[in-house]
Amino acid sequence: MIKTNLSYYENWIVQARKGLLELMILNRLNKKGECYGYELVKELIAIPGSGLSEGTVYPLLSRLRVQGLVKTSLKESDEGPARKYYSLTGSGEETLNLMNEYWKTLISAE
Amino acid sequence: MEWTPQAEETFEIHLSAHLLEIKDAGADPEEVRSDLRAHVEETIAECGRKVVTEDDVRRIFPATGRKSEKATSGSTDGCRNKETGRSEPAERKNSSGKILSDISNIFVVCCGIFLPVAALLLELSTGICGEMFFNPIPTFWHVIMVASVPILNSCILWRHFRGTTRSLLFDGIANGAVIGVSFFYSLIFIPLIPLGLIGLLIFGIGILPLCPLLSLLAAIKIRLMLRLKSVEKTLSLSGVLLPAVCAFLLFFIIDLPSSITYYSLGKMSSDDATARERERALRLLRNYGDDDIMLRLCYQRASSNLNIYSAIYNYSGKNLSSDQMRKVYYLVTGIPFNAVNPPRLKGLARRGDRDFDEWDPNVGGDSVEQRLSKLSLDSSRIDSSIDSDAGVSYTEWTMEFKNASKWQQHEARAQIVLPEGGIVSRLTLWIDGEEREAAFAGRNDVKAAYKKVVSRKRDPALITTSGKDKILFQCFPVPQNGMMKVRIGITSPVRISSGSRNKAIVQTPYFAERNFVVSKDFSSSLWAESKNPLEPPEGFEMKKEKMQDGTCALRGNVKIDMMENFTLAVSRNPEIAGGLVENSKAGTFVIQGIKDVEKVRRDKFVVVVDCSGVVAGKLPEIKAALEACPGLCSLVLAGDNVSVAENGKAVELANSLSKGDFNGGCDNVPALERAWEIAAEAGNCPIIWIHGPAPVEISSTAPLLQRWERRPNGPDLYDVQVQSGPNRIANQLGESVKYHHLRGQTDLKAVLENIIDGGHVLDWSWNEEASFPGSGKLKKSSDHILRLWAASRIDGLLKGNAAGAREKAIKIAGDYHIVTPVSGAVVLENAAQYRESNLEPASEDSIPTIPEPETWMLLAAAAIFLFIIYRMRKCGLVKKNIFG
Repeated sequence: MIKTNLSYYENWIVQARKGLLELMILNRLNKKGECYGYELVKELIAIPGSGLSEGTVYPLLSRLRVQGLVKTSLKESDEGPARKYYSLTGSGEETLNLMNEYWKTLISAE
Repeated sequence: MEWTPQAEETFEIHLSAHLLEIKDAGADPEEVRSDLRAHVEETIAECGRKVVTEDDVRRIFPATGRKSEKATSGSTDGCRNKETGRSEPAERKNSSGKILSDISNIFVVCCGIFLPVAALLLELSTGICGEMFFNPIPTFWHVIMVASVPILNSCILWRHFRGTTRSLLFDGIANGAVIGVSFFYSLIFIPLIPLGLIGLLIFGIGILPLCPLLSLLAAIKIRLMLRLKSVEKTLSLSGVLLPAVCAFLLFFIIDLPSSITYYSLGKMSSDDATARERERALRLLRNYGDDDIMLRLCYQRASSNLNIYSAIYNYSGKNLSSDQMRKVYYLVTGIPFNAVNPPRLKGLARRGDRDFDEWDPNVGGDSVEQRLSKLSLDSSRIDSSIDSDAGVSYTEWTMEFKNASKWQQHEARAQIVLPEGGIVSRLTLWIDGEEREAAFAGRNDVKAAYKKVVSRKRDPALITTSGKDKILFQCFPVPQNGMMKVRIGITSPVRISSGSRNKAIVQTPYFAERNFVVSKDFSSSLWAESKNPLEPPEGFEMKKEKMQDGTCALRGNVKIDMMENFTLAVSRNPEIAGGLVENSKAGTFVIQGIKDVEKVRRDKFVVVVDCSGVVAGKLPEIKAALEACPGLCSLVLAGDNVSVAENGKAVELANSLSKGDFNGGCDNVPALERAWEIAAEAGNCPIIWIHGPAPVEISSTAPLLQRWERRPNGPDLYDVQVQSGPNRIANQLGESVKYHHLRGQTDLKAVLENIIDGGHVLDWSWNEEASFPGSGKLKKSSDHILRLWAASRIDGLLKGNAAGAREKAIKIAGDYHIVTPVSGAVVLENAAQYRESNLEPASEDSIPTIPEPETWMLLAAAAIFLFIIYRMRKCGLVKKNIFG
């Protein structure tokens, strides 16, 4: 009985994470403003239960950029080559607001 | 930051496993690659290091790889397993993926690089496919195309495994080209794939026919690997088409000469083709045909090429026989097929141990035919003894043939042009180091004896005539890895220059056609001697010597291909009117005397110019010679069609020469027929035929021969051949026609003037006297005069056509040991063979030697001997009963 519940829970986490990863990244960017990619990824990976890795985050960031929600810029660094910075676009901010509204609606529903 | 090659490779392998998913998820693969590399470098930099190693990549990526599995496409099994602590399925999946990736890499390396290299090397060294089916690499360009497959694949894979991040444009184009080449050969090899599969399944061998298909699959796999790395357009489906189609088309371009050759040969051999179509096909062959293919077809040594026309030609059943092909080769190139070295054998056959492929089907035949690459002239010496006062010379040509074949005995054959009026009076063959002399008998008898011995593979040599002043020489067998030595003795009258009796011209024999190889710089050593001073021709360096007995000698080397133009000038006493010799066989005396012949001045003449390519170089000279000629002339151009300019001034007609194409080879018989008609109508004016070699009889000479035979006093035919080589037309005509071979005539202007102008020429005549005529102005000379007299008698008998003349001629030829149109010389191996053929070899006392002992010298020697005996008897030193 316990086994069955655990299995169900694991599957649910997979499905939930799939839908929420982008929301999480966008919220992180919104909170921090313009953010150095390496640091952003490290922070995201470090979030407990996110299940994220470099191999997951970078494709997601790339997709968000391709879809126009995120923009990137290169900035010179004293410590090495130019660094890539991520920030939300206007469209990204608007979309994030809509997503957050929807999320709140879902979790507050009775 | 520096990456080790292993780190690059590991990074690319890990990345390539996910790039397709990344692309499908809507991310930019190049951006992701760049971000991940930057991430790795940042991580390593944080550790204070400057080099990324394989371990670093493995440390970072296994974790990310396992977690990122299917992340972007929705499935995060890896994450889930990590979270739950259940990592086994993901590990297994990653492990099996790695195995699959390794197998895939091994496949592309083996089938994309090693297999094509192995197939190419095998075909180049053995020619196995070319010998059994068709030649997949008929030209150097095909070799390059095939070699491009492993080379380009190596470049692409090297860049791929090295993890290059540069543009993949080159990789895309190169891979497209490889796909095009592999696809072309896959199509070609389709018929052999079932054989290859059967061989592979049953015998475990036969992968080579599958090589193109496997290479194609490897190239496609490489394409997929490249697509994972890049979204560049060159790696899309449409990107592969352009280079692949270009490579495919390149085959048609490099195969164009072959296609044109086979297409044209197909037209030439087709019964349905019109004359116009054949003419067009011939023009195509001359302009664009592949000479090597045509030469191979002359030897029946060409395999199918990689084009549809080759297949149609080879399998239609209407292809040309080797004899027909040899005619086409002449028409296309203008040179005899056996004037160039035989085509190089391909594959294993070109090695010594496979030379049995060079089979000679003409052993014991009546013509020279194909050249044998393993048979060569190893040494040649010419010894000449000249009696310029009496007007006779004797030349011995000793030749040694070498057979480099390890497997086959070969027959050496050659058509030799003799000095004008010359006859063969000796033939010697060395058997086991001993000299064996020839028997002289009827032509058919000696031929039959020769063929009988040849069929038993024993040692015979044969000489028969092959047209006026020409002989066909053949000896067999030149053993495997062995030599054969022969000597030909030639008796000939010297030529006395017109208008001057104080100089005699002596010509040397030369090869018109041969079936053995003579290296380019090969020279014959020459030694000529005479009682009178000798002079070499201009441009030849010879050393003069004076012997102790006062004999003058000239020695040096003469290149074989220069012998046609080699003539010696020998001083002579202008007071002496010829030679005299006693004929002990008949108890008579034979005189060779100078004959003064009056020439009629010719106001009209006909010039036939062969429009073959080899004559093109002589055009300015021909034009200049015509322009210098007075009188009316008709010009007949022997091109693909006969064109005639009649009864014009030679100066004006010279311009008509520009109407000729002077390309390839041309059939001269129709032009000679036309020339005969014009000359006959104009009162039998002379025909001057300026031409190159005529190695094949394209049109029959029978109608032409009939005209001359039916009108014995018809036009004189003057033959001026501007390049050495066989002349089949002259061989047919020479025996009956009023034919004059003007050998070694380089000054065409002088030739024309000499023929047209009137005046006197000096020639020889032979008479037999019953009693000693008194030496007077005659010089006592050697038995060679008897041989020349016998030859002139035979000539007279044959022209007379009297009953029994032929038998009488054969008897004379046998008695005087000479080769004539009715007789030949044959050397057999032993006395039993001579008995079996009812022949008798020439006895030692009847064979000519150098210098020939003159009769009076023999008589003087006998007289001295008798005198010594007489003195000894008188002194009581010898018993009386010595003389009985």
